[in-house]
Amino acid sequence: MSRRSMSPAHGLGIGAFALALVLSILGVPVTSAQGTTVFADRVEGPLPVDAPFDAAWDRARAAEIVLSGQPVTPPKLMEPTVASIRVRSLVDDTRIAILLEWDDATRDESVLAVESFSDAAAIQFALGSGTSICMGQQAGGLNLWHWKADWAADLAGRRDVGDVHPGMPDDVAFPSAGTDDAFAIDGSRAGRAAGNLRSAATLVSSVEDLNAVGFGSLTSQSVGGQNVHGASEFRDGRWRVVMSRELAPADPNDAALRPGSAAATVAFAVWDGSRGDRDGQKSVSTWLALTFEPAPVSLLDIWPFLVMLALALGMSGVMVWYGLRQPDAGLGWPNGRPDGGGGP
Amino acid sequence: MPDVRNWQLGRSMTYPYPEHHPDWQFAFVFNINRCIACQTCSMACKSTWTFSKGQEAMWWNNVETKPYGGYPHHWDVQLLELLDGAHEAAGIDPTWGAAAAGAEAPYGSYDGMTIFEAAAREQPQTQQALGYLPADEEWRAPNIFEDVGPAGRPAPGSLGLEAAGAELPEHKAYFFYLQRLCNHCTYPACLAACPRKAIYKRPEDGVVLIDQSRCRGYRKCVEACPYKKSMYRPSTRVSEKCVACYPRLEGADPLSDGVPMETRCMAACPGRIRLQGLVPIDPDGTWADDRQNPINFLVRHEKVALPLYPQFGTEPNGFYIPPRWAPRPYLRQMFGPGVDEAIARYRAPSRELLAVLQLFRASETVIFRYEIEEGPKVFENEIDGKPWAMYDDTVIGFDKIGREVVRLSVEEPVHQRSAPHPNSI
Repeated sequence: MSRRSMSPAHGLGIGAFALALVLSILGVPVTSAQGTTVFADRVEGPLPVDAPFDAAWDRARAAEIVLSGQPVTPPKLMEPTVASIRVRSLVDDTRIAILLEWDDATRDESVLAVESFSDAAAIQFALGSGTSICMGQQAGGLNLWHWKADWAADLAGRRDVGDVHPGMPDDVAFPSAGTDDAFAIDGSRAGRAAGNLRSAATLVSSVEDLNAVGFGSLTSQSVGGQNVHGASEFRDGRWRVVMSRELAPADPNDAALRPGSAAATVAFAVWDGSRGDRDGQKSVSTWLALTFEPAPVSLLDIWPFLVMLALALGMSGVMVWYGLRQPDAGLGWPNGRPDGGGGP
Repeated sequence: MPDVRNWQLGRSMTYPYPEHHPDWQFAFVFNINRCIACQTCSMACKSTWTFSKGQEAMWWNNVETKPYGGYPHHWDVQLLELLDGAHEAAGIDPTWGAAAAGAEAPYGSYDGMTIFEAAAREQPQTQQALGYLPADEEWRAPNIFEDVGPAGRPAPGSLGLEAAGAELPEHKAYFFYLQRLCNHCTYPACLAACPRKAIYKRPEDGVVLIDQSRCRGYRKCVEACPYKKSMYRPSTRVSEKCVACYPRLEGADPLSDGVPMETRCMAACPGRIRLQGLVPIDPDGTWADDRQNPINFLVRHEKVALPLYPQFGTEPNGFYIPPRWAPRPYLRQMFGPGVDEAIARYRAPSRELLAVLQLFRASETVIFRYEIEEGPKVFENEIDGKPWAMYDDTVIGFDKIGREVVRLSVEEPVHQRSAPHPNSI
């Protein structure tokens, strides 16, 4: 029996391939796996950068991301203190906002006692392709956004020891402000005099913008480079934190995010303060893809692709037609059933 | 993990970083026998470095009453208990073997685990050093249990005094003062534990500092330092520690005349219990054999001053002449197996030791070298059944560039005024 026409299975396969080709060219993700991709969806209306519980977030696709401990370098955390987080992302023409949401029984936002640590969350972006998920490496760095519950609480006014120990005398700041001594204001606050952001009198954001190129290298960007905005709310045993930033700032230390380009590589981490989490004692994700919903496409933008597609399909048709006209040898399939491999 | 040489343990040990040694090491000797716990050292430090907001409970230098006192509360007992637990879990009985004693193992060889080794034994290893984080309240009473000792066996109606009086070598009712500051360890646990690499040891003098711009307030150093001398400051959200008054060490203080000067806590001591110096370190990390350096002489030659809890494994650079009257097992736990020899040498000091002991608090300038001019015999006695003689020798101390800074005799000079003097009694 010789093959004279395509089987229905073949027709379906070629059709599916053609559809996938078209969708890929149009930038529509063909495959989707829960927990490995975060979609940055285009928002209708204003970007809810200051409203973690805004209804706009409900229309964004949520990725449930499983976290593990940090078993690589001391101080380690062998079992995660937070099992998973839900991540959503929204973009408009100029900014991106990423919402992290996780369950936490305690709201920990003070670091004023020796033993108290703050809840925190971070997003890390790979800068270039040669980086490592473990705090980056020299060949490829990371850009990190680190939200801290204590910074969020301090935005309204920096808390100090008097807030946890009301009886503490408040006349111990010395030398007093107002003298013309260069050390008068900050000299006895060594961290502040050294320019440490943690010690700063006023914070510009609850999110710190940092870079890292390996263990122990994490470094804050300059005060002028701090351009990540934060908003957070703790409600019913749940943190919701929004971190937002301009899509592609000029600073080369900032991860540039461009809708329409390849997916960004991101990872997430969460700290539970009341469990003593800080530094490497954190619950972390693996690398994930942050992909952008494409901008609406007009025919005018993609006519070269359509011409190429038409040409490709036309040539395929010619070849199929030519093949069907050949006697038994067909398109190189053995004699007999093309997918059975047997004889006539 | 690299192996490093720890002479106080008489062996190598594991440490997260390879050996790298400073040219000089900040070091000090405290004579516990002389301390009256006046806290002048504590106040000298506080009024210089920790007088600001957020430092209310911060005492880089403190003096506590042993055996019950401690700042933070029971810091040493708590860590000893953790280390004991680690030894029990590992089935190890930590002892000191005297057989290996030698020049680079003056106290023998410790066959137990250090805080680094106890942490490394945990599998998987989650921390760099065995430790704990003292809570806020534990820092709030710097001299809790002041002057409290274990009760002896007082006679009825004797105001708590022993029926037979107190006798050496061990008093039944006892306490003593322990003067503490950062030991600027050769293998600092704070530095090992800092995930930020914000802590460093200076190559010029071995002083251990926290970089205030890089610290992120994780408090891993507070957790890991066995002596609890890294402290968290809530006002700045970062940790701070003793800086060994480095401007004075560098000779940058206007009074220093350009040469190293003792720290504030050392220079302020009215009881003359403190002697601070800088000891030269050979490139291989051993102490250069510099007998005329007073610290080197007291620690390595005379072996009268001992490291505090050497078994922790950080090779601390503060050394103590142990109190003569406290129970020896307690002192051996605190200062290692060299205690008996150290006390014997202090009770009946050699001619040279007696002269060098005069240098304590003789000058604010750091003494790099001493010389002795011999004087006449002034006293004879018998100590522990052996003859002992005292000579009125003169000890002369020199600064870093060889200038004489101090000259003292063993016997304090006395001038007796004639009776007709208007003020005479």
